[in-house]
Amino acid sequence: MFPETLERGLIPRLPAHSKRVPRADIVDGPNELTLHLDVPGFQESEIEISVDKRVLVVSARPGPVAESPAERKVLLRERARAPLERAFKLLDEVDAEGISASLALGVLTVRLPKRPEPGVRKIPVGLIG
Amino acid sequence: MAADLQKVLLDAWANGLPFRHFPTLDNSADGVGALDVYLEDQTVVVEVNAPGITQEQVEVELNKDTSLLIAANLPARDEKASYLRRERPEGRFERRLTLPFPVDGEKVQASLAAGVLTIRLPRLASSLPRRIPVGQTAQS
Repeated sequence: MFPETLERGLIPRLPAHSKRVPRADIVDGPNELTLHLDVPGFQESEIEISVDKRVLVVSARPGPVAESPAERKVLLRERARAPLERAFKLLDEVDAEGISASLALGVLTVRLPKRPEPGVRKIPVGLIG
Repeated sequence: MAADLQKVLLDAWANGLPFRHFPTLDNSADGVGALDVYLEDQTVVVEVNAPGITQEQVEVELNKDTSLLIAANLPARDEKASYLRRERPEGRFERRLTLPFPVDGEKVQASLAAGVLTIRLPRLASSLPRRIPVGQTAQS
C-alpha cells in the first residue's frame, strides 16, 4: 500500500485494491489538520490507527457478524462489509505524538496537531497609509 | 451535485498531470445512501449508510403502505475552511423503495446507530396471506 501525501497540490498514489478506500475530507486549520473519514457501521474496537515512519494508516475491519437470523432473505445488498484502509504521509509540520481520534455518527475524526516551526516567525503585514 | 462537479474537476485535474492515479473511491460500496434490504419473516429490514447524519437530518416517509422514501440533508461544510481533500458527499440524497408487500405504518421503527440507519417495516396484518380451510363435502 502506498501512502498518500498530505502535501498541498500532490496527487495521492494508487492504493492497494484489495481493500476499500474510505472517503476523506482534510481540513487545514491554523493549528492542526483534521481528517474526517466515513466509516459507517464500524465500531471503535474495529478501527485501528497507527503511525509508522511518518505514515498514518487508518484501517477498519468488520467484526464477526453478531446475529444472523436464520430466516433472513437478502433482497438487495449495496453495502459492503469489507475492510477499509487508507494511508497518508504526514507533513513535516505534523506532530505525530499529538495525534488523537474520535468516532461519532459513523465518521472518524483524526486530529493532527501542527508543530510550531522552529526558527520561523510569522511577520504580520500591515497596510501603509 | 457539488460533489459531482468536484469529482469532474478533480478528474480533469488528475488527467492533466503526469500522475494519473487516484485512489479508488467506490461510490456504491460504502457510499452515503447505499442500502441493504432484508426480509425477516414478515418484516422488511432496510439498512442505509448515513455517516455524519443526525436524527434531525434524516427523513423516512411511507406512502400508500408500499412506497418508502429515505432522504437526508448531508451536513454542510465550513466554506471558510481550507480543504486539502474534499471527497465526502455533500447536498442531499434520496432513495425510494417499493416494498414487496404493504407494511403497517404504525409499527415502522427507524433508528440511527454508528452512521447506519435501520428501518424495520412489519407487514400489514390485513395483507398477510390467509389460509383457506378446505372443507369436505359430507358423503352420505
